[in-house]
Amino acid sequence: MLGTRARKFALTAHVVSSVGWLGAAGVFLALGVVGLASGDPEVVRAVYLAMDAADWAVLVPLALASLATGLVQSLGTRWGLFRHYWVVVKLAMTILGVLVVVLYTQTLSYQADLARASAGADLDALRSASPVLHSAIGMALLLVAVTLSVYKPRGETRHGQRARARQWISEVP
Amino acid sequence: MTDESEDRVAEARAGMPRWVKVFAVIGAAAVALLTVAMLAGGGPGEHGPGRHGQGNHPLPLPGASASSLVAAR
Repeated sequence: MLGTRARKFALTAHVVSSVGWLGAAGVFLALGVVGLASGDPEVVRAVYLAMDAADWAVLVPLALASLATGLVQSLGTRWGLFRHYWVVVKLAMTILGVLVVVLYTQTLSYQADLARASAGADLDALRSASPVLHSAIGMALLLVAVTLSVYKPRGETRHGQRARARQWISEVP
Repeated sequence: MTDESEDRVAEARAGMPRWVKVFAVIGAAAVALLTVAMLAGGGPGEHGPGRHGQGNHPLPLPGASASSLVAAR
């Protein structure tokens, strides 16, 4: 188990990376909307270039940090990784989110390449609703994860019940 | 037995909470939907680089030749 200071440091890192990830998804959503709505060709191209750059510099590192610090938090505290349903559900959602973020880098890189090559071309061919859709779904997922973290709804898995039973037995004088 | 102990015993006997079952159903539906969308899109679909001729990205990349675009359709 982590000591008090280490536990608080790990919790801080997890909150910062997870909420930062949520914020970054919000920025991507806004950029995606601008890319769809703006009539200025330079702005539209800049949006897809910016998303590609920010993806690798911000979104991917925060997503990976959120997963890593979450694992440290779970394994280093009494909550465990598979003892409580809220932790299991949050873990599944985080893994799914990280997979999507990593896979989506290909699409964003492709769109950035199109933006670089599209000088003078029809903007409608460059615009894509995909970043808006992915960002919105990502934000919803992360909001649910944050809510689970705060409310910690009750529910112990069988593994958690067995672990608690072993602990009771070991504490009986 | 204290109130907290009674709560723990009740929780242990309750089985999987309803909210977990709801999440599991939604999660399974989402995975099924994603799988169908990716299969219908012909492979990586929107989760990989856009394929020429699938409607979203008709602009050629720098250096792409006309014959490579025709072959990709």
